Amino acid sequence: MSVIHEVGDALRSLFALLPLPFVRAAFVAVPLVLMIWVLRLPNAATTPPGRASRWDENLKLWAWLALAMQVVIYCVF
Amino acid sequence: MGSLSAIDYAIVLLYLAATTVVGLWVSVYVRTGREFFLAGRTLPWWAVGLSLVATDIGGTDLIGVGGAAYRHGLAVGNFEWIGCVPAMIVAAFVFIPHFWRCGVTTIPEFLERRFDVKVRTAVALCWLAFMACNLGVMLLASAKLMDALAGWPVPLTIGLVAALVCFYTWTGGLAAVVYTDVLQGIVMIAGCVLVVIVGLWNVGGWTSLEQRVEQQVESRELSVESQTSTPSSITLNSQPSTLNPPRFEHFSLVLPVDTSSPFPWTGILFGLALVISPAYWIGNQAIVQRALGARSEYEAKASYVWGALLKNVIPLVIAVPGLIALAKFPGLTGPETDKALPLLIGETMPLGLKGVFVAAFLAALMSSIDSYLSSAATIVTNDFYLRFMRPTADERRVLRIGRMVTIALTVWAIAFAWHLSRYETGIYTIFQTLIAFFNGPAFAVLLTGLVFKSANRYGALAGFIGGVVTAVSLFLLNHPALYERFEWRPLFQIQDPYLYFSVWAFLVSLAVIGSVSYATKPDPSEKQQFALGNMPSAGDAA
Repeated sequence: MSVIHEVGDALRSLFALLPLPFVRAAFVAVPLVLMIWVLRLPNAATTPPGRASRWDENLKLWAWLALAMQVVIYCVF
Repeated sequence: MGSLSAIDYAIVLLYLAATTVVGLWVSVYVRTGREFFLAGRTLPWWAVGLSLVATDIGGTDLIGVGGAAYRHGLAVGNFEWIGCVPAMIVAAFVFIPHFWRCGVTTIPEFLERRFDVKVRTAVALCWLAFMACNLGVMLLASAKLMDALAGWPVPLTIGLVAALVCFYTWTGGLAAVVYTDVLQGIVMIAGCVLVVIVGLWNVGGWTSLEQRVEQQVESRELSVESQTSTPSSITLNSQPSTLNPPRFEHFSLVLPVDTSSPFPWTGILFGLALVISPAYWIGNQAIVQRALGARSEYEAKASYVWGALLKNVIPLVIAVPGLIALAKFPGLTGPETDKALPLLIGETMPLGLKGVFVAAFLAALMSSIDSYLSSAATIVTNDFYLRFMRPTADERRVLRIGRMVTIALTVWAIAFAWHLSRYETGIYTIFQTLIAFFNGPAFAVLLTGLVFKSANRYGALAGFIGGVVTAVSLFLLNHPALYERFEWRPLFQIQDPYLYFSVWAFLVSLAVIGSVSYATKPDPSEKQQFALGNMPSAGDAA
């Protein structure tokens, strides 16, 4: 075995120690963190420039929805 | 799947005719090189978003994902869910608006503005080699599937698809590609939704599907266990199934490190979600080009958000049919599992719906090939012809060159597909892993250039080369010819570990870019201004 094999085995053993529910929480956390980030974006970055926009033109809503669907999917499966 | 009826053929012909009409309609508006490569920056968000999704799913994916779901379950859906949606949302608000404001036509062009011409050329060469090879591979692999699906001869599919795609890309450029993708995306999604509805109705609904798949997997694993158990082990352990119940993973997205499938959570999270997916949605020319053609910065962002919304439903329509096939036809093993979807359609779809699925398959194939053809032509014209041969060429000449390159690349793709058809399947699956060699390093170069002003051109070039060398070395160390010679075991424990090649190549690239940039003199400030946050919003397109 080479040194790279040793490193690979060590990493594999380390990751195998992590409980699967903890890993699943990490998968849910990725879209959750992004949902918070999207909500904190300035309106100027998510609406058409130079005019008053309708509620459905704010991209925050749709980005948030796409990420919320991810949270539901990774909670269910 | 069996032969098609007259109604099925009529549906396929209707789809092909509609594609041709859309392509012709768009071509009327193309007069200049800028209109050919970026559609004159007139594309609406809804068309770009649907085109992004259609491009991402090729003909081989449509069948291959069904086969993978049959073998390994819903975990294959990770490639469309966590492997797309988070990266698309980040790209929508951070990276795509920045590229749009910079007014570039290609990602390599941006790399020259941020670093230098060497970095641009190295990355452009890799993308061009990959796209040119991938055109031939996609044509051949899909033509073979079409042979299995509907009995069409391989040369017929290659010739028909190549001629049609070349025609509308030649006449209409990116606009034709995007608007035909819209039609193709609708046909593809509608065809797959019909398969899911009819399939679920056949197996008695979702709950029944879960129960039947669990029964099939359990009986399959017990059968394998009994075949592999030695007489002594049976004596020592009279109830192996009770003590070690089979692990049921077909409805789980997060699989353990020691899973028998190629999708352990480590590869999905670290390889797919954190490297491959951002590299694809932020750095893949074939993907980013259509957003650069959006009519405003806001519409470029909206197209990615719309694409992310659509991506949430895609695994349900392309992976679930594989699970339905497992419930109905449990006996398939090995390469036979890729026939799961054609078998399901052949046995369960009523008259006419086979034609819808064949149209959906052709739509998936054409929407990917046209995008790679258009992007490869853009790279040749923009990053080689205009950069090195005729920088002062006028718009009409650029249009003429772009169209000539489109034809030349189509001829190359047909010749390459024909050449590959003489070899075993394995030879062309190697070409499909080519992207893993440079995807991670190219993304590391792009990311550091965007995020760190201190990253310089020496670091970028050294990091790119170092990353590619790392990926190729890992591939070789994992190849039986090498590890058997040294009496080692494979470096990676899963099949197809390309996700891991990309992760390690990305990390090595980052380390090299950081250390070389630290040790050499920084780039001038006019280069550093192309990092994120230094480009004022330009508002809508002129």
